[in-house]
Amino acid sequence: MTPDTDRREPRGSIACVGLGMTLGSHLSPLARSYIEQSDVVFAALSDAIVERWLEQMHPDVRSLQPYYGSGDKSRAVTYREWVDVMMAEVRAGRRVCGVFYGHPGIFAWSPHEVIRVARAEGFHAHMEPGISAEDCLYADLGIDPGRHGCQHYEASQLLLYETPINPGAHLVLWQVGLVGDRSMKRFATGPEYRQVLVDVLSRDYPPDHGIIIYRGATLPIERPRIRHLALRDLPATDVAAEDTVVLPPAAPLRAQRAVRERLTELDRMAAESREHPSASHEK
Amino acid sequence: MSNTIELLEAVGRDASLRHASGDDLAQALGGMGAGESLKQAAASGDRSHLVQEFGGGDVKVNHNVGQGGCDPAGDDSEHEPEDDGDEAGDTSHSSAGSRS
Repeated sequence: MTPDTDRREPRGSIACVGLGMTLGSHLSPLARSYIEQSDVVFAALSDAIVERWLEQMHPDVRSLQPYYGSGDKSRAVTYREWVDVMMAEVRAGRRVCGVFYGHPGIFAWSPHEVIRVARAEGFHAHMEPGISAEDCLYADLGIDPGRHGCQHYEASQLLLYETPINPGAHLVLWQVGLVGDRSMKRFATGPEYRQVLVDVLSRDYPPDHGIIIYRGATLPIERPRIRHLALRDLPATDVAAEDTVVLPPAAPLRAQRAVRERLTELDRMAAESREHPSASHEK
Repeated sequence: MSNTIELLEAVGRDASLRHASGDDLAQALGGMGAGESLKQAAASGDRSHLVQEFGGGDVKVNHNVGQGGCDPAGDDSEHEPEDDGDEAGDTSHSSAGSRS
């Protein structure tokens, strides 16, 4: 070791990890290790009790909740501030851990951004996945996304952009509780906004189509909240930010005859070459 | 408070407790020294019994930009949201889309 290396500033780093959805049940050993080995922990969690749990893992846990502010503050500002406060510690040479509920990279802007910024400045940055609301949804509702296919959208995307829907697959809509908000200052929108969503969905689904409003368990003494209703009743139903709306398939899978015939022909040719290997080599 | 957190963590990582009935869970927690509020919360599955111990503060769960909202990476996030042309703006910095 040279004297130079002795004088070298400690290099900061950041790891964004997921805490999973349910206290005590989902935190991976590696994510816990990142938390315990960091110098400072920043937390954006879904529950004040879960935040207390995290505080038992590290002596310096700083909640990101106060940055939301109140009233007229855009979440765009909040998310940028989250990146700034985390990067300030990274630049100071500290090992930073950003802890987010669920999976840190799903429906979360700041974890991706802070990793991008850190890497651009030459710091080591890493994302460690967590068990997400989506993962819990599949388990609690008994949905296999590979059976019919599964589409995920933030609900507002269906209102603001032309978004083709495949009614033959599951449709999972996130953040229905604030659908249609473009201000980034509100945390909920009203029944009239959900009516617009229903009107858009009614292009592909009948009004009596059965839908599910799902909320996973945050505390291990809780059960998932699963409500069944008709699509037409969504506007009059309370939907919180934590709720996710699932539309099961409304149409059967339709066979692609021409493509199937093409595959059949390929199968026939493959069988033929197995039966007459020399003939295929002569080609 | 710390005892309640430790007991919640113990329930969360114990396969025999995590999906036990409310009554069974409350009984088990009683045997572990849980306070009355945690036992009531476990028996009913209702977290509101824990409010007195932990407070009932409002916790925001939104972490994403939101389609059609402001891009925090932009120069001025206080502007009106993009009122959108026919195409979404640069989504390279946006998340895929609530609860993570």
